[in-house]
Amino acid sequence: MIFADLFFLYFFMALCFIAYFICRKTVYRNWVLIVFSMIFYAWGEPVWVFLLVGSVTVNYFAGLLIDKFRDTKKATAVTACALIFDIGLLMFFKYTGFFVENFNAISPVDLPVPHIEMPIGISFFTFQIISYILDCYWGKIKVQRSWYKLLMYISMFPQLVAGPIVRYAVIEDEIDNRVITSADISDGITRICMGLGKKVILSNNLSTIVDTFFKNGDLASLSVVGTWYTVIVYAMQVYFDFSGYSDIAIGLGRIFGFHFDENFRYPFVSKNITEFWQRWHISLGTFFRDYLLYVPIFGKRRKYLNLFLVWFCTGFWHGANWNYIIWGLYFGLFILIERTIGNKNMRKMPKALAHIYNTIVVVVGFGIFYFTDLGKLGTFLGNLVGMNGNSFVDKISTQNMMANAWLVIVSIALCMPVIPALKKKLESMNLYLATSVGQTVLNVAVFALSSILLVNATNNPFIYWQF
Amino acid sequence: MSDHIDDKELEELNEIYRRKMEAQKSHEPKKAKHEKPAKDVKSENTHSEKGLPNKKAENSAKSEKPVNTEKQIKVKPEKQDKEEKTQPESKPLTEGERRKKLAVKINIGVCTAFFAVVAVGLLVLPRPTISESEKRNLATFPKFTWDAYWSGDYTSDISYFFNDTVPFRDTFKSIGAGFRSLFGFSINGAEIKGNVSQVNSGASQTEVTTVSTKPIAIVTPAPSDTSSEAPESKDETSSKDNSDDSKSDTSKAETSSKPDNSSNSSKPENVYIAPSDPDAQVLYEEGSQLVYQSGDTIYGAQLYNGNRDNAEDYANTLNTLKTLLPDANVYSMLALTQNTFITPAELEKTKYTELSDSEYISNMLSKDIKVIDTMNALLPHQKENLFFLRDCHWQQLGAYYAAQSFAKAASVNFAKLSDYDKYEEDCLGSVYAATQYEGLMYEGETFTYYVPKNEYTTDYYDEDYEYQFEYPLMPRSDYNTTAFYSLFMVADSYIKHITTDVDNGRVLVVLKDDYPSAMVPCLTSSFSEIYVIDVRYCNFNVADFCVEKGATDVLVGMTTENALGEIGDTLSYLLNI
Repeated sequence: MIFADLFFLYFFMALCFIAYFICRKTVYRNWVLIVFSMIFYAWGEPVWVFLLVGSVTVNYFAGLLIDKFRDTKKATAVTACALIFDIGLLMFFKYTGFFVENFNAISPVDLPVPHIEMPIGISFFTFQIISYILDCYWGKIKVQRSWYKLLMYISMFPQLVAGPIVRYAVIEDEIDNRVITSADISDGITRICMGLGKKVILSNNLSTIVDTFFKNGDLASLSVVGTWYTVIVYAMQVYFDFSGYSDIAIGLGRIFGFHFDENFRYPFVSKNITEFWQRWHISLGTFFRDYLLYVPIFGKRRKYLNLFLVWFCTGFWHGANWNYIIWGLYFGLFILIERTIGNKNMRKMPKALAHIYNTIVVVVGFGIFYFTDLGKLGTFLGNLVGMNGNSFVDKISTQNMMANAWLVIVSIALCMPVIPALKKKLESMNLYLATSVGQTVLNVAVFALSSILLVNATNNPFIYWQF
Repeated sequence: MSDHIDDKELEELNEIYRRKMEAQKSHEPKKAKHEKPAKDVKSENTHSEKGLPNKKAENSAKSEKPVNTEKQIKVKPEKQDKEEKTQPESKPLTEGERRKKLAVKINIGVCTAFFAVVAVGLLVLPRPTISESEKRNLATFPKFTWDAYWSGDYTSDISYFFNDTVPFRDTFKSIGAGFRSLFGFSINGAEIKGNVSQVNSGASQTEVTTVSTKPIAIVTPAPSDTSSEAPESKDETSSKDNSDDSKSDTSKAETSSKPDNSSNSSKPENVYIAPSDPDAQVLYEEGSQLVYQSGDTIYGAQLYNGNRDNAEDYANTLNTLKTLLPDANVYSMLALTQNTFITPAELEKTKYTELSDSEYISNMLSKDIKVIDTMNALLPHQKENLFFLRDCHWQQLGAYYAAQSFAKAASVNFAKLSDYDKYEEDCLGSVYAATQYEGLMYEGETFTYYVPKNEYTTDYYDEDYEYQFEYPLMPRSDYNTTAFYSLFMVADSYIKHITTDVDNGRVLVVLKDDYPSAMVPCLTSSFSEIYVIDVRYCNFNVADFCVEKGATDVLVGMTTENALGEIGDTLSYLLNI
């Protein structure tokens, strides 16, 4: 089941809200969330529910053992076993085919490449479980002694399949003690409406432009301008797609009384790549920061090698393909350069120039992200600078720009914090109520329009589902 | 589309939040034994350097936790001291707070009401079962089986049913298409509603098969009664050879081998040049369905995709039919479509054209089978309204000229156009239904049709030839803008028996696909009885049927692509059951 779906919005979500708010006690509400989360997960792939529940169960007992053997080597051993189990599952389902393919490529043997179906959301819920186990081990959180509560945390459907990666510490208190205020519900509704709009109105329609040129078109003949135009549109598509999903997840969580961390903070306004990654997919960045960056795998030389490891993993986490690894290392390289230059020197760069630098690096990065076929990736990179003998501008791209001018302009504007700025301005003019009513009208309009556009939508899965 | 609060505000609020949490924590027992303070203390700068979110950024990223002071107070009501609990209650609300509360109530009330109304509407309103604009049955609620459940099909089918049968779906689709039309500007005066894709211009058209025989010049003989003679010439001077031999890149002459022993030596009267438009732009493409812009007009086409490998089988089928019906006149009509007359040659994607394949088949037919030459029937009228611009069928005028050619071959009377009542209706071409390309949704066109004035009755039968009902041949009162071709004899699935006021004793059986449907009304002045069988909807041996009904004439008519595809195979099957 996906969020941008009429069945989910008007049937599943409606039923879930009714059941949730009929129950007055937190314990019952927790069970409502578990039941609906299981249905949600089983909707597409019933068999993987067993994997999810099994994984939670193993880690539940691991947590108990870690607590029992705290400060002993046994706790370390249990932690290691749990991590091997969790990472092993992820590796098996997500990367086996990739490893075999590459092994075949560099060795004389020709092993059959297994085509293992990957359970949806395994990358996300595995990372949540890892954060729970490590935080237990480090004593940052209390061990969860209730199996069903741990199950609820891992399986909670708003963030189950595409994040954000909610750490146990974030909602630890709210599992047992949460009060839902009207402000929470109101904010949650707004986040859901805006998130749905980002996905259905913007991202889905931007994707048709991307498909036209990158998927269905003849890439080799695409002009320089056409290539830049398409990859910029793709960057916006991914942003609206993923941040839209995160908005819906955060909004649902808010209505249920949970306060998840933000996952995006207008990343395209960044002035450098370091800042970009502090604003883009924040939950993944903080995960690697806290659970990988400071693990002294490389001893004293960790300064550079850990950086390499983090960005290798960031890329590899996104998919079992070399382009994702290149994508991660590409950003790692720029961060290394920025670090070498130094924060102070970076700040001296004129603002406009800094934004241009950041935008170019990020946008090219999204091109690397898009092309899983390395041959096409090479063509794309050549196209950007006209190295493939392609023209500077072509008629079809120009026409496409004209045909989608307003969509692209509005999308660019909404990549910037235009709405918050507008709200702030109106509120400073003592128009708080009018602003709020305006927000309500916008919510209804966006939700209604999104619903209408979903009537004929045939294929609109969220991009990050595949990860 | 808002990520809400700016950084400064968040930091201030975070500070308030941190203080509150610290105060709160001081009342709580210490929970963590193994904090790692050293890591966290030093991390702030290095996090930033590593390009990963630093603590400051992370705090500001906390989901507006600090913003909602109301929530902060209520999160752990049992853990807060009395002061904190009672303070906000005893304090009178300021004007700003009252407004905020009101705004929250309005937002929840209005949004929930809207949501509830739509949700209830989706549950209780009757769901459509057919989409007229898409010409298909909509999804039905799936039947439960464990296999379907475990495969995920059952649940995904439920979602599909829910989405596919939304009440007023066509209206919502129109609104959606209207909204999308606001995305950009018109191009060259044409309203482009969607996205222009590339394939066809200049050197970039790698996907376009360059060995296409189009643009081609077809040298055709003059239409004459010799069309009713058996084809003898089997020499291959048709498209393939010509295209291979030709030195020209742009225009390859193709000399048709007419099924007429005089055709090769006859002086050509008409030279057919297939349309060409190197600037035609593909707007949408899926399979053989194509939406393109040529000049200022948007066209919808179903590109020719015939499989020449089946040509011999089809020819053998017709030859067998003739063998089974030695006393009847058997005619073969391979109808030409807009592919030949309208679609720019540059868009073709197959090696052979519809025209060259139809010639190829005809050359393999028995000399006892009369070939209806639709090219010569239509060519003199190519400037007229023969085809739809966005529908895969021909207009009835095109069918009329083909029927005229057939009547000539059959030596029967044929009514003039003035003997019909002419009507015009708006219609939405079938390419929209096939592609769902929204740019076509508003591209209606005019359907012109002719109702014969003479006397006739039409009986309808099912696929087993069980009588169903009598109904008009062209039920105008049932006219539907999207299913407009149903005007011709209701539906292909019925077998029709038309009894006319003609007393020439000629009994015609038409074995067809959907294409010749528009021809049948043009033949009510030509035959005493007409049986119309769509071979896709027939459960009996058609040769036996022809014998049983005393057929004097049997017309096998379909498009060349269908003849070379499943429908041709079906006809073969119907001769053997």
